[in-house]
Amino acid sequence: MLNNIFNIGLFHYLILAMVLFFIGAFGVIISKNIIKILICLEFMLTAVNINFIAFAAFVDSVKVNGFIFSIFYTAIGAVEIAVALVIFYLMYREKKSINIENYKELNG
Amino acid sequence: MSFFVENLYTVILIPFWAALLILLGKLFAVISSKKVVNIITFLSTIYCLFFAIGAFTKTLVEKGFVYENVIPFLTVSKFNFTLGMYIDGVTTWFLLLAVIISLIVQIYSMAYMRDDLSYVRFFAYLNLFNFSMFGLILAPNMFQIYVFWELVGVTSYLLIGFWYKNRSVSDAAKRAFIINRIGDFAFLAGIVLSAYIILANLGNVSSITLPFVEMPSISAQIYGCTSDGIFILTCILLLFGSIAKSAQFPLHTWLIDAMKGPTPVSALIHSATMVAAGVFLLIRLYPLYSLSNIILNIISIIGIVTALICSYSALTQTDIKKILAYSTNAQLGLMFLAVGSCSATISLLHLTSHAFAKALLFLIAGTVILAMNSNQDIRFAGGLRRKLPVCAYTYLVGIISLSGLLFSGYTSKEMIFSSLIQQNHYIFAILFEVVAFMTVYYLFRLYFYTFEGELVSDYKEPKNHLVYTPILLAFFVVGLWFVFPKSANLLIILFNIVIFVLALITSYIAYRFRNNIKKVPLFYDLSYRAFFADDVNNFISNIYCCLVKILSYIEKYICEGLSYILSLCVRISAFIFSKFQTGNVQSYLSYSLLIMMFSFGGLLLVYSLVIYFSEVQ
Amino acid sequence: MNEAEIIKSITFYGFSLLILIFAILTIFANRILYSLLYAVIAFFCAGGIFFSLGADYNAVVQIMIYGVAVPVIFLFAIMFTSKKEGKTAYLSYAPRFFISFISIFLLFMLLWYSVKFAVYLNQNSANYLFAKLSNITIFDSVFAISNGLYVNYGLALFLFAITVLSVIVGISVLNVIKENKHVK
Repeated sequence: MLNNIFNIGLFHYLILAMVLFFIGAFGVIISKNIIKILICLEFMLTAVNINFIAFAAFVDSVKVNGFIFSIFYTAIGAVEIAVALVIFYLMYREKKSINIENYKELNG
Repeated sequence: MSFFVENLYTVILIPFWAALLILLGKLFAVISSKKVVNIITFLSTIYCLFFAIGAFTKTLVEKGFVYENVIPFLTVSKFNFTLGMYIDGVTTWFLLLAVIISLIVQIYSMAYMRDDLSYVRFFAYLNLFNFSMFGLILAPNMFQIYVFWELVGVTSYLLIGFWYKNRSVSDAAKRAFIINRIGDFAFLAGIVLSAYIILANLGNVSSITLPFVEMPSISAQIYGCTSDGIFILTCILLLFGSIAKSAQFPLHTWLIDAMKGPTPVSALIHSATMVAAGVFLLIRLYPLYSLSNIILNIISIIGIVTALICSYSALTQTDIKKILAYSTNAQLGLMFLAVGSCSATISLLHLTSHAFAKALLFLIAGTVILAMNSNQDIRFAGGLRRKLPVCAYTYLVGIISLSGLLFSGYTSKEMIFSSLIQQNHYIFAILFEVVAFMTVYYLFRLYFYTFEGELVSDYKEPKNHLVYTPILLAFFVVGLWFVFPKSANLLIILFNIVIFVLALITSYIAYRFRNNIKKVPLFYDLSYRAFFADDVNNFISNIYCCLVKILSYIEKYICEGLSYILSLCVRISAFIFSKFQTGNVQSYLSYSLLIMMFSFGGLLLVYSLVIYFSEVQ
Repeated sequence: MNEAEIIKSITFYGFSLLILIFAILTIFANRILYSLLYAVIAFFCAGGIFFSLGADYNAVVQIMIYGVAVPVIFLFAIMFTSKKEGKTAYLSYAPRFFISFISIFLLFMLLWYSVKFAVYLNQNSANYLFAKLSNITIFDSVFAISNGLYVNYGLALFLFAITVLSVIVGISVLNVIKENKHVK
C-alpha cells in the first residue's frame, strides 16, 4: 500500500489531471463572473496538458511527440483565451455587466 | 389449327388491352364516341371467338388433346409460380361458350346501355371481365386460377355496383363481394394446404400449385400420403371456392343481390359464365374430388339442397330478375349434383345448355323491363305477347329447354336423371324431379304473368336490336340439341312429359285464380323470403355489429383514455423539461456533464459485464 | 524505496496539492483579482509538475505563457471591466451547482474505477505503463524538442503560426467592425 503511494507512476498523474479537470469544470459551471469562468477554463486546459505530458513521459519516452504537441496545445490555449477575452469585451460593451446571469440569449 | 392453340394466350391479353385502351382513351378524352368503343369491344371479342373456334376444332379433331405452355411469373427461392395456358377439351368448350355468350351480350348491351352516361366504363368493365374470365379458363395451375378467380370477383363487384350512386346497389355489390371473399379465403387456404401437403410429403417443388397436366397423378399422391380427415379438409376448403363463386347453399344469397346490376351483366356474369366458373373448377379438380366418396356426396348434397331451397324460393317471387336468379341458383345446384353423383361431362353439358338458355331468359327479361319502364314487378306486367311476339316465343324456347321438355335442356336433364337412376341415387333422382317440377312451375308462372293476360302498366317500345339479339341465343339453345349425345329412353321421356304437363297445369291454375288464392302463412313466407336467408345473414352481421360496438366502446374509452394519458405525460414532461432550458450556458454544460456521466457509466457497466461473463465462461 | 523515489513523490505530492488547493481557492475567492493570483500560483505549480515529469521545455513554456502572459491579458480585461458589480457576481447555487457536483463526483468514481479496471484487465500492459519511468535528461529533452519542433513538425509549426496570425488579425477586424457599428 505504502509502496503504491510513493511509487509515483502514470496513474497518479492521470488522477491529478482528472481532479484538476473536474475542479475547472466545476468552476466553469458555478461561477458567475465571466473572467473567473475563463480562468477555470484555463485549469481544464492545463489538466489536459498534464495528461499529454504524463503519457508522453511514461509511454513514449523516445520520440517526445507528446511534449511537442503539448507546446502547441499551450500556445493554442493562450490564443483561445485571447479570443475569448475579446469576445467577452465585445459582449461587455453591449451589456455593461460581467455577470453571466445577464447573458441569457441562448433560450430561444 | 395448332397456330390457334399455340397463340390462344392472346385471348387473355386482347380483352385486357381493349379495356385499357377504352379506359385510357376516355381518361385522355381521345375516345368520346360510343362507336369507337363498340368497334374496339367487338373486334376484341371477335378475335377471341376466332381463336376459341380454332382451338375448339383442334380439340374436336384430336381426342384427348392436351397442350400446356407456361412462363415463369414469380420465383420465390425455389418455388416457381407460372402463368400460361392449359388447353384440353374442357377448356376450349368452356372458352367457346364464354366467348359466344359474351359476344351476344355485348351486342345486346350496345343497344341496352345506349342511353347510359357511363357507357364507356361499362364496356371497359365488360372487356375486363372477358380478360379475367378467359384467364381463369385457360389457367394451367391453381396459382393462376386463384389470381383470375379474384379478378373475376372484382369485375363482378364493379359490374354489380355499376350504378353505384344508388345506395342499395352499392350495398348489394359490397355484400356480394364480401360473401365471395369468404369463399375465396377458404379457397386460398385449400390451395396453401394442398401445396403444403405436396411439399411436405412428396417434396415435389414443381407441382405445389397443382398443375392440371399432372392432376390425376398428383391427386392420387395427395390421397396416398394424407389421412382421410386432412384430405377431406383440403377438399372442402377447395370446394368452398366453388361454393362461393357458384352461389351454393351456405353462401348462396349473394346471387340475388347481384341482380341489382344491369341486366346484360346478369345475363353474362351471374347466369352464364362467372357463376359457372365454380362448376368449371369442380370439373378441373374432379380427379381430386373423385378419390373420396364422402366429398362427392357432400358436393351432391350441397347441390341438391341449394336446388331445392332456391327453386322453392323462386315459386312466389314477384321480381322478374329474382325469379331468374333463383332459377340460376337452382340449376347451378343441379350442376353440383351432376358433378357429385354422375360425372364431370354431364355437368359440363348441363352447364352449357343452362348457360345459353339462362342468358336468353335474362336478355328477354332486360327487354321486358325496358318495355315496362324499368318496372321489374311481374304483377304489373302482362299481355306483352301481343306487343313483343318475338320475345315471347324466344322466351318459350328458353323455358322449354330449361324445363327439360325439348332442346338442349332436355338432353342434359335426361342425362342427369338417367345417370342418377343408374348409380342408384334414388333419393337424389326423386328430389331432382321435384326441382324439375318447381322449375317448370315458376318459369311458366313468369311467362303467364309477363306475356299473357291484359296489359297492366305503361308500355314502351323497345329497340329492334334488343328484341332480335336473343334469337341468336335461341339458335344455340336449339342447335346444341343436335350436337349433344342422345340416349333416348322412352320411359324417361314419358315421365318428363308427365311432370312437365302437371307443373304447367298447376302453374296455369295458380295464375288463373291468382286473386282468389290465399297465401299459406308459413310456407308462403318461407318461399318469399327465401328460407329467411337474409335474416340469417342479418343475424350474423348483427352479432358482428355487437362486437364492433363493444370494440368501438373499448376504443373510445380505453384506447383514447390511454392516448390521453400518454399525451398528458408528454405535456407534463414538456412542462418540466422546458424549465431546464434556462438559456444559461453553464446549465447546459452541467447537463452535458450529467449525460457524460450516464453514458460513460452505462458503457462501463456493459463492458464490465461482458468481460465478467466472458471470464466466467 | 530508494532516495530518488522519495524525492519524486515529495515533489509530485507537493506540487499537486498546491495546484488543487489554489485551484479551489480560485473558484471560491470572492474578489476576482485574488482568484487570478491563486490561478497564477496554480499554473506555476503545474510547471513544477512538468519539471517532475522531465518535460523542462514544456514547464518553461507553461510558466511563460500561463504564468505570465495570460494573467497579463486577464489583468487588462479586469481593468477594463472592473466595477462594483464584480463583488455581487460571485458564485451561483442554482440547481446546476448540485447537478454538476453530483455528476462530477460520480464521473470521478467511474473514471477511477475504470482505470483500476484497466489495470485488472491487462496486467502486462499496466505493468508496462506503471513500471517504466522516464530516463530523460534535460539536454536530451531540449534537443529532442527542438529537433522535433523545427525538423519533424516544421510544417505544423508554420501552419500554427499562420493560424495564430489570422486569429489576431481576425480579432482586430472584429473589434473595428463592432466599434464602427457602435458609432453609428
